Amino acid sequence: MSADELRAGFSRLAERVVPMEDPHGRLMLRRRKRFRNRLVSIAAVTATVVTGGLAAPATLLNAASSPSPENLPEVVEATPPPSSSEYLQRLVNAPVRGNLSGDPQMVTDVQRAFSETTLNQMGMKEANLVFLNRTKQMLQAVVIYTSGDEAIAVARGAEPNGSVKDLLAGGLDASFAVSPFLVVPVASQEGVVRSVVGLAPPGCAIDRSTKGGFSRDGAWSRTYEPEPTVDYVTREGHAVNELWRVSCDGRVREVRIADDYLDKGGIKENPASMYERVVRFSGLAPGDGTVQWRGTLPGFKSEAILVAPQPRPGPAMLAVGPFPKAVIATDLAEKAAVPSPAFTGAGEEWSMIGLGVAGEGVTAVRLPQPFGGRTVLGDRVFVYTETGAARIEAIDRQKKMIATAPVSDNGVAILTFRPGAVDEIRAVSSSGAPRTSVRFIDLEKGSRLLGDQLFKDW
Amino acid sequence: MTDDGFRQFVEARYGELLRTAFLLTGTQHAAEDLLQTSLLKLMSKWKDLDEPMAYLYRIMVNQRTSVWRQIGSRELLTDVLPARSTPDASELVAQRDELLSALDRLPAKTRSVLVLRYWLDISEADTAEILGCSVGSVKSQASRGLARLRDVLRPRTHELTPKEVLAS
Repeated sequence: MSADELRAGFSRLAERVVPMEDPHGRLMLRRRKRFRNRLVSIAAVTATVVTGGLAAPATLLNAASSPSPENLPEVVEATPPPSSSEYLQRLVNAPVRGNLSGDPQMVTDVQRAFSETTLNQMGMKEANLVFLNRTKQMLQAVVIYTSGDEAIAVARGAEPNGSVKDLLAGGLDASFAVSPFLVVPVASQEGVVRSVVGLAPPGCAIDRSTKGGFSRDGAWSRTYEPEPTVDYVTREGHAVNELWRVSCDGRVREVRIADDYLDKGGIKENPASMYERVVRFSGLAPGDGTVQWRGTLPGFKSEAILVAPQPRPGPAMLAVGPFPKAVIATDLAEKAAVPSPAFTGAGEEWSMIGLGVAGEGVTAVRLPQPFGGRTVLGDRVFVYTETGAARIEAIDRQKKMIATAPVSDNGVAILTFRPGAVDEIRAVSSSGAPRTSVRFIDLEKGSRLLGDQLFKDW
Repeated sequence: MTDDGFRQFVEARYGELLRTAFLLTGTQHAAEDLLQTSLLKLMSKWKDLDEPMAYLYRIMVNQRTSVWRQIGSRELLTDVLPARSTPDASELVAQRDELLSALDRLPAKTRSVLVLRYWLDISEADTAEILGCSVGSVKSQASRGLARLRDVLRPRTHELTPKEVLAS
């Protein structure tokens, strides 16, 4: 194709595009909506652990939105554990952290600069600098703005030797909802350098993991290491592939993928490369993935591609669709909230990915499906076997078969059973003799990525 | 911010910018998303900028080549829902222009170079500045991009085997 032909082609394509009316008004509406959506009430859930007839701690009841005493629930514990709101308060009011926190002049300058220049712009009353850090590639700052009982976080980045002014002007216009474990991307000017910062409430501890996998019998395990900086973590890169676990007061409160960014790349063009990225995204070192099967599944118009590793057992990836961007299904259809970093891509240009286990001779993946504009895990389970088995059986924890389906000529069987019901997938001969089997780690509730339950319990 | 200059800029340029965003992304929905996100970033720097278009192009291509998503933070204001809210590949692909499909197969940076050079007619030097790379890199990306499009769009005489698909 010549340059002139491409120009003509571009013109032909661009003719299709019709802008909507009042673009500026829409832009302002989007800005207001985004800001409102990210405002978080930091006193919203205080009532859940407050005792009925007792005076609650002042910190729990000082907000206008707190319920009146007669509406408070019954006593649930003599010494209530810290509530979500308490953790939020701890985070919002935390002293500055990061390797520049020991530079009082810098801290003061940055704190003052954000307070003086951005409060009006944000429409908030107070700004608290909670993170100030310098890496080889960038200067990072995270500020939490509060107004009454509402809070919102802003992340800014600049060149490593940038000034306070650079920091104010730097990075992307990035505001984020505040949660007890606040994880935000911090970008330098125009997003050239990127990092991810995680801030847990002071007193909590963050562990990281990049190691885990299936054992020979298909059981899942993962190894965590304590983060040296204890209650905060920062990583640079365009795709930070780790699992982060936060523990507070002796209890694990959250497990999440460090970063919800997945490097783009075509599935059809290079399934093995996509497999590698997806497994890395899951916080694991990938084996060599090869295409085991490709074809069209019932209920799907697009081709599906199954990629599995050697050696086995290992993570299996089933991708449906030809699009360069992909959505990994981690949640069940009926789950309304999204506590995991499950992608919520806008439909038509996203391929769907389901993750499962590839054992010796048999691979099982719960199929992704579209649901309400999201990609979720459905009731059907894709099984592929290379053993020449006649049927596939799904076995529950009581060793009872609860679903079975014949294997087609191309080695595929589709079983239907509710999430969490099955412990083992077994390939059997026409006489019912077992050929091979694999443990099936499934989702009963919540969010799961491979064998890891992702959750928030604040 | 209620900067009249910014408002005028958006109202005057939105159509052409949306077309550029469409060529960078391939769907109107994604183009609106990319453009609105980029304009909001531009707005925060508006008063300090002498060359807002160059700055905006930089934001757009960086955003395009390095997109990340926050949970629940992707919102797009539109009167009509996207034509389809779920992946439904075959019909969509069948309707899609061959060139658009071929562009989808290019690396994001290569696609950006082609759009900047051959749609916006921006010089190699300015393209390099926008992308933060060398002029040589712009030249090689443009050349490789055109060659790749030529290869993908050439008439096929037989069905591709899976091996050929992987190699293409």
